[in-house]
Amino acid sequence: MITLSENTLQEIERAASKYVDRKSALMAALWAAQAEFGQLSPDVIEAVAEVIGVSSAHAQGLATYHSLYWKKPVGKYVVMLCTNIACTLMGAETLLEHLEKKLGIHEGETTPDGMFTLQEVECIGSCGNAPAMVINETFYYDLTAEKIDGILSGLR
Amino acid sequence: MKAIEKFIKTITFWEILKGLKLTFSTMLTKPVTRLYPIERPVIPPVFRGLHAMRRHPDGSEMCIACGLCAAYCPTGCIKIKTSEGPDHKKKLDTYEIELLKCLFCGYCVEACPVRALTMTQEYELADYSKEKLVYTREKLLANGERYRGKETHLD
Amino acid sequence: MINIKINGIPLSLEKPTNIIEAAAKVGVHVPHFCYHKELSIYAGCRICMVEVKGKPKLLPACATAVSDGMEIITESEKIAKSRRGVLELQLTHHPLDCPVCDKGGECSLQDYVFRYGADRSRFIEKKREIPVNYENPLIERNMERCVSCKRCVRICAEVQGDWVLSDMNRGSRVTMESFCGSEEECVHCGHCLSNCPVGAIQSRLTKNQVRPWFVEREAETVCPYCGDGCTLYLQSRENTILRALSDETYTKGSNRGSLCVRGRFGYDFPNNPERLKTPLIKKNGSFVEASWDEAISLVAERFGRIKSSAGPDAIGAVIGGRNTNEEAYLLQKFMRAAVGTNNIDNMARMGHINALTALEDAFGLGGMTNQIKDIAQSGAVLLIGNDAAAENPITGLAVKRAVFKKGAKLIVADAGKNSMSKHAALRLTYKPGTHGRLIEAMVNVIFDEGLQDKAVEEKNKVLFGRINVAYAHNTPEKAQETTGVPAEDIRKAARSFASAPAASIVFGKGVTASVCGYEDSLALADLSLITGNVGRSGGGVNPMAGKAGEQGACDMGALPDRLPGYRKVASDEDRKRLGSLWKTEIPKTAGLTVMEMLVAAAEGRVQALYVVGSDPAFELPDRKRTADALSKTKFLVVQDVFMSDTAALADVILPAATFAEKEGTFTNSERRVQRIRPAMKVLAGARPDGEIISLISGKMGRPMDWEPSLVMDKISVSTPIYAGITYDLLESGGVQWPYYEEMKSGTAILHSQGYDDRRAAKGEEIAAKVAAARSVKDDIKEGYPFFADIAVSLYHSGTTTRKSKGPNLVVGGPFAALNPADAKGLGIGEGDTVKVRSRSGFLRLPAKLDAGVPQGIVHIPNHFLGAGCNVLTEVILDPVNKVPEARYWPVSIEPEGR
Repeated sequence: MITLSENTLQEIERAASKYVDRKSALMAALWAAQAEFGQLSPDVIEAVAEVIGVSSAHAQGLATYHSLYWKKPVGKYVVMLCTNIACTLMGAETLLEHLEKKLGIHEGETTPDGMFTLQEVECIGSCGNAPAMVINETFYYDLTAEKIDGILSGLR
Repeated sequence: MKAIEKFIKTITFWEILKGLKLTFSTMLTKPVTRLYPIERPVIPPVFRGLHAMRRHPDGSEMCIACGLCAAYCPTGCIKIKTSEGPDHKKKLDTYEIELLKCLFCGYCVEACPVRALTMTQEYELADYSKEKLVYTREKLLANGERYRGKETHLD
Repeated sequence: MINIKINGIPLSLEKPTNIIEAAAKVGVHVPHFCYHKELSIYAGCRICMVEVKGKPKLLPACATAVSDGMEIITESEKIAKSRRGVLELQLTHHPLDCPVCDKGGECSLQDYVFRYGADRSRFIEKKREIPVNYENPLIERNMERCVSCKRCVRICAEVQGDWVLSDMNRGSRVTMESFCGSEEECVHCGHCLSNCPVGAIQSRLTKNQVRPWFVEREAETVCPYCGDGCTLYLQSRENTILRALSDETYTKGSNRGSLCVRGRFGYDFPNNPERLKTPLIKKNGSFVEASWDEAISLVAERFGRIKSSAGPDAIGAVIGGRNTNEEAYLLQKFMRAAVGTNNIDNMARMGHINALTALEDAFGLGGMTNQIKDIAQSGAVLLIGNDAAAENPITGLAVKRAVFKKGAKLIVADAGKNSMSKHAALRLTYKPGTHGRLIEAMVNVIFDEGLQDKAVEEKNKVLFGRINVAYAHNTPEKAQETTGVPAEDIRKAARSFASAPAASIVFGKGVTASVCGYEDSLALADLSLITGNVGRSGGGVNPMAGKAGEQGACDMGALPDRLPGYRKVASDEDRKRLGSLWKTEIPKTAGLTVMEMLVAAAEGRVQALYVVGSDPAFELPDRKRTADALSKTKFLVVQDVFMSDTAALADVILPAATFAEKEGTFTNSERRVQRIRPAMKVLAGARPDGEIISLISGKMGRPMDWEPSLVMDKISVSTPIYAGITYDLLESGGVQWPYYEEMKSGTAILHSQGYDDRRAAKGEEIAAKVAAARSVKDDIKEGYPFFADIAVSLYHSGTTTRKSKGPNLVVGGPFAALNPADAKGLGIGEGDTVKVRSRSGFLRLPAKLDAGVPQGIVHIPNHFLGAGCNVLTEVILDPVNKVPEARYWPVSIEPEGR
């Protein structure tokens, strides 16, 4: 079993102090653990569950519900392309294919060099500028295939 | 009037004559009875005779052991025992139809979701013991083999 | 008053409830998947939508509370359309494999689809494919069939309190899974499978074997394992038990729809081919099959001969915890009236009797003061010497319910492993045998800090004064030295116990099966008394019986010094009263307890033993001595279902019927008298115990009726606490004795009108004897640094479970569980063989590392053939009730490698 670092534990305690019920801090705790380990592997989830005082199954259920908790190791940049209604109508499906071809991976996978992870996500709240995507914490709007190529080569 | 009519009928043996009329007229028509078992009837395909269990063309049994035939049977003459087979699949252990109880209503055939059970034109089912009239899976499959490719109740 | 109309039917309700429950009151079923009355409202399945007049949209019936003037319509074209839509969405993924799905015929989805006609989905997407989870030996999960109602997840979390399952992923990919699909945490209670509305979670024991229309006979009966006495439905076909089901209405008995692994999966021992099928008589050292006539005549003749040559007191009888009240009554009547001796005892002697006599002396009646379900009302629970989650799982559920629903403070005090610890607010780990000091210190703190119930004190000044003085010497600091529990923890425990509005005490063999079991049970009674919890809902002193028939056998007077209804043999009046009913003279001298009988048998004073439904050679301490005494017994008759260690030594073995084959009643620990009913015919060759006893009695010149209902009629006359209890009364459900005919009800909570303290008479003398016995125990510790915790495992209960398939699939053999720190110190790894040695013997067991076991303890479940813990123990008796010390025994552990 993995032990969480002192820093992460402190982070979790700080989050827990905000709630009446300690269990409410589970999301924040998972987030803190993800920041430390880069992913939520079963071991990490188990460690967090132990600290918060919930069952590991409960913690895993929560972690698998949210797409921003990485259950697998991810690359340096996580490309999250919205394929919800507005974006799809504006051509997100073709962009996804383009991205897959460009990066040489399928949705949900990571490039062998560990640079990019491609993920399909639900609405990211940028329907006005659809199609849109998020890479790490930066939003990119009104995408076209050329624009994506530019963004990716800018990151490499 | 009535009394006179009755009197005339009595002295002329009217009722007997009436009876003989039928006798003589029948003597002149073609008989409807057959010289069974030398002469045999033609059984229609929808006849509900002895049950049969069928096999797939590849030889495997069609029955999936769901037990719906037993559930539907109004007399409870079908006994089916199942268990967990290899690969967690449902396996048929024993299948018995007690013909002495069976009404030949055909509900079991209707209930079968995979058409594994059918009824055939077989009707000579008499036997010397009650035990022999409990038709097991093997007997029913053998009957199915006899009717393989032939039109039966179902088709 | 809330007046509503459901489908035009008017209904008045006292308390607000949701529409589903209100509709059920007028016999209208509202379709639902996710709603369950024991669980929180989830409102996720959307099939319970109903129309409420004045509301523009359909409302979920589960999540909508009824309010005055509401007019509800549960079936209309609009509703049907909505439900059809929901079903169609379910069928996007649900496979249409009903013919091979075991749930077919009793599946909610199937029923609703049939009702609303959405037999296929318009969605053309491929159905999802998820492999079936077969990790669990008893429960399979086929998530393709899941309708995402989350009832399994919620019942696992909210009722069972384990939260083994959770909903993984989201949307159409959601599955109900355990952590990484592993089943390590699962306690196999089967709540998930009994609650699954479809065939997604099912029992593997009955997989592909049972269809609802295969069932030929169904009986509402009582689980034969522990003292919780759970209502259970047995279904059979062709004289074979098919499966056991729990009550779907969640209303019946003490368990109210819940079962544990033993009840739900341990039902099939009556089908076991190893059952004894014919009487056996030992001739020249080996057993020969005999006819019933021959066997009965032999037994009657030998008993008669011994009676005339050595006197009636040379015959003794023991009855186990698996027999019904009627059988216990017949046996004690046979011994007292036909044989003429009081040498009759039952296996409650292994502990429970201490609690009963202590409570009788403290309050006037020997029984659990409250109900099991009443524990759920407690504000604090002291669970001491009882792993409620393993030994009495349904009581454990009540305790958990108090913790989850009432926010009760749970204080778990135990020397050994206790699976309730994870729900505990406070865990006190005392040194084995010192629980008495802990309780006394708690009483001391309560008086010291003035936390006692002032109103009760006002009424019982003398009693309170006496208790105060009696425990004054044992301060928490002093207790810390003896028990090893920090004084501050004792104070905390005392404070939370005393400050709760109602606090209950639940205890078991950890307290009672020791040399000071009587004394410590009294201390618990005192603790409850001074905090005013006696006679209070959610309070009380609740001893847990280990076996289904233990409480009943004691009630029936299968005790050497007690007549039916705890009347005393010593009292002339009681004896005369019963004697006139039986038209016989009841012997004056108290008989021998089972431990004393064995001593007498070894010495030749007892020449014949009649052992019914128990296995003394396995259950009683000191295997060698017990076996020696049994083989020295001139004539040993064993009446049992299976061959046992004792039966192997017998001269005559009489094959008996199991609980599934006979009529009768069991009294559970909460005094609830409940009927068992046959689900199958008596196995050819075997006979019900009652019939056998009456046959022998008849041959000895005293015929007795054995028809259980007639016996119960006699019991209700001769046993005051069972007065008025008849089979007709019990038809609709159990009754807790004492039953009051004028009020037409049993007694849920004893002593609510006050109690009768009878202790004064006994006093100092006992204390001195207990101290002496304790010092004997201290002597054997030398050189044996560990304590063996001779425990009951969740998966087994005594020895019948090992003849059932289900429990053995999970725990199939013996083991010795050690704390990882201890194991490391001794260089023992998981699975290594260890030799557990005591002064008198040793056991070789595979080691298991378990952080739940306290240091210095080795936890050994005592159920398995060839691993009976009585090779370790010796006989040290408690001076009051002659209960042998049988729970903790000093041992040493030697690693023997792999």
